[in-house]
Amino acid sequence: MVFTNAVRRALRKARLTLAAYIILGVLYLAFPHYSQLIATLMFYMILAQAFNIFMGMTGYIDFGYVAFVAMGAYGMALAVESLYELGWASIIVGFLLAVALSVALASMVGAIALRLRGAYFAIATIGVNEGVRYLIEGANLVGGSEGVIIVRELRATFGRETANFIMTGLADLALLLIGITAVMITALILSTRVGYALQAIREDEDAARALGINVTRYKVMAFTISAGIGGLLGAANWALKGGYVEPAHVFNIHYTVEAIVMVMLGGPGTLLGPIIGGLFYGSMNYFLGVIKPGLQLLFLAPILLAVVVALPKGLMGYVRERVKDPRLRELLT
Amino acid sequence: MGMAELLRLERVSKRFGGIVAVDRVSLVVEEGESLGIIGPNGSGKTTLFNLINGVYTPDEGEIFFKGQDITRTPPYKRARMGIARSFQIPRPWGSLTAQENVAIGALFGARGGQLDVDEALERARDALRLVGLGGKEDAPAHSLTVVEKKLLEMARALAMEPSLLLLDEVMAGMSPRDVDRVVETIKRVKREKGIAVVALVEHLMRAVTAFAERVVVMHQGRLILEGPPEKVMKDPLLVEVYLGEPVEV
Repeated sequence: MVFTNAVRRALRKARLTLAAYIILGVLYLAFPHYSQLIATLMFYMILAQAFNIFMGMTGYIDFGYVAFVAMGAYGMALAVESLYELGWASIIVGFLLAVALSVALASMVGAIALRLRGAYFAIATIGVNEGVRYLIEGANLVGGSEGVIIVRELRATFGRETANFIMTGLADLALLLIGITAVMITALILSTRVGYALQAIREDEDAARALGINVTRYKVMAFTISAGIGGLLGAANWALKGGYVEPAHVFNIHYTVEAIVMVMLGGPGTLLGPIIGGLFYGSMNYFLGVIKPGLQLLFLAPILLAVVVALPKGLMGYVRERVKDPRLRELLT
Repeated sequence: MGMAELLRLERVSKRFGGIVAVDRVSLVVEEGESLGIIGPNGSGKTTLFNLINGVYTPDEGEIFFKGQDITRTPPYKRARMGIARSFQIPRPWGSLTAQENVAIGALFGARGGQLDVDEALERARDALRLVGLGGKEDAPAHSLTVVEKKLLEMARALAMEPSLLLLDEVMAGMSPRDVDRVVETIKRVKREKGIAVVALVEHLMRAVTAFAERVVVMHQGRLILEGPPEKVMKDPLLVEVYLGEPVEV
């Protein structure tokens, strides 16, 4: 009863965000020529959404976030590499292993780092990403600095045609489903006591404690959920779509910075914010990449600066403070 | 009234470096009692509150609530056991609305886990009306005045359905009318819900006499006087404490 109420509230809040994904799905089928642009947009939307579940809701900035996405990519790559003879089952196991690895890393990091506050937390998490990367490269684990390549395994099991479909259409379908899952999880969090607890933590952690909120429990919860979705994203978009995992790429802090920019831009802690941030940043990144590759990074800093100064609560934060009608507020969650 | 014991502090001390902020304080609060703790700035009142609600753990001594030893219980568990508080400088969750602030109290307080979000929001509406903030439901908490924020904190604490309400300087800086309203509210929750209220007051002696059944005076971390308000207020020791004269205890 309580749960079905929450689902109903969540669906009401998620209308626009779900519509965004469905429109992208239709556009993907209607304009195959632009399918890779649309897939890129979905990648950024999901990255922002996953990051938002922890950073946006609790206010803690995790500079090592990309390590969880990387864990997911490794989970998928390792599953396909060792179980490819099982066919489709290896891909299913890949997604499960992706979530398991990213959640496992998040639990370990969270148990220690979540005792720290503010800047100390941020600094500790940078170390995690670099640490895991150099562990893999230095100790020559799971392929070392060369990474894991699964294109050959995919082709051997499924044949060239099907393998190509897995690395394009299926990986993109997986992205769409992960995006919708992220929307529903975020909307559910925002519709239940969990969301209130996280917002209270973000606004004033000591007051949250005094009001009966088990602060550590909710922080760990948001941290692992955020990591798990990141893991799914890495499995679909890097391992499955790319056909390989390379440490220099998947542990690149660049992605964490992009996630921060998108969430700050769209509105931390909101449902629509990361979608808007992802769409804006994703398309800017794509078109600048077409016009002048490498220039994208130059635009990151001024955008972030402008947002922090002009819209400290992001675009959705700004809009929500001005909308009074409760029904419209719900739609613009 | 001969009520049962609710809270007991046994020779509780807290030091910060070389300063003894709370010095071997023993205190009993009975169920449904209204107690005023008065004392000048720096006398250790707020530290005492932080010990009761669990922000600090004492260096010495023990604390019991409803018969259970809570000396080392974390604040969120104490809140669920029925200890609610307001802060001296109000700490509402600024970007949430007044109603959401209070609803969180209902969601995580003594009845935490039993309420649906909608029920909690409904209760929040009642609690806001009780403290005189009816009509402010949708206002973001940061947009409220200081007095309104203090009332909001009181509503938030009341929504937790506590058995002990700790109010830290809730009436300081209020107009006489607001003070009267807060005193009225304290009396009402005590009467209707049997909530014990412990209020820290630095200067508003009129408010203390209006609501407290018993007053204790803190000075340099110690409890130095105790009794009914009219008697304590006339005690020469109290005058000395506030004028900063050296005190022999």
